Amino acid sequence: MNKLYRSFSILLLATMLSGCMTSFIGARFDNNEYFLINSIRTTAEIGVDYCGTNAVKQLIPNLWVKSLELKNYASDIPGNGPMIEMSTKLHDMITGLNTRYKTVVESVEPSTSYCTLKFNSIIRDSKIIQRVVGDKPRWM
Amino acid sequence: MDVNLEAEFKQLLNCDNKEIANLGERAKEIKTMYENKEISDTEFKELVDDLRLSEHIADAANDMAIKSASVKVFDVLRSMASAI
Repeated sequence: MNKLYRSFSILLLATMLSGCMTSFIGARFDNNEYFLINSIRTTAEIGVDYCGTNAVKQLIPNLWVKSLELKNYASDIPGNGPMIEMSTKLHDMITGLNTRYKTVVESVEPSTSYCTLKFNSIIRDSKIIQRVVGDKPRWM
Repeated sequence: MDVNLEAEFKQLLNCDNKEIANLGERAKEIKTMYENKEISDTEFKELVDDLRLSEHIADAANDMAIKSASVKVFDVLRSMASAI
């Protein structure tokens, strides 16, 4: 049995030395990622109640900046493929909302139903991301 | 087309995978709102495109969960090995 453990230790050391460990860096819990995704989710949860009012127009650019921050933050962390993918797609989704409100003409306000559906989608996807980010293993 | 779509919706909504069932629910809600003219053509198009984005997010979330599980196993084995 000891021989087995020793073999495993050697394998482990070889993996660490070969640089394969960098692929696990992005797999560890990251406070900043968790903070940003929580902030996006919270802003969206507040925003959905303001659909159909002028107040939502102030919240949306803020939401867009936060999602861009998350996307940029995640982008250069090694081994962080899934987070890059999730933050990019979430940002794309929020960009659609931001663009629609940014280019709004007085007579063509986005509909309240669109706003509600869009915010609910962002909330649901943020929750999915937050759950997996929160479940990442902590540094030992 | 509509008959098939309804059957597909039913299948999606009854799916065991929570995320897929959720996407099905959202798709149905979008379709209903579009048919009731509560959302415009361009809004409808954008919301349908979002479903695809959500699908990618769900897939990447599964990948991350698998990666996290493998790191946890790796950690346990590492602490076992360091105790030798």
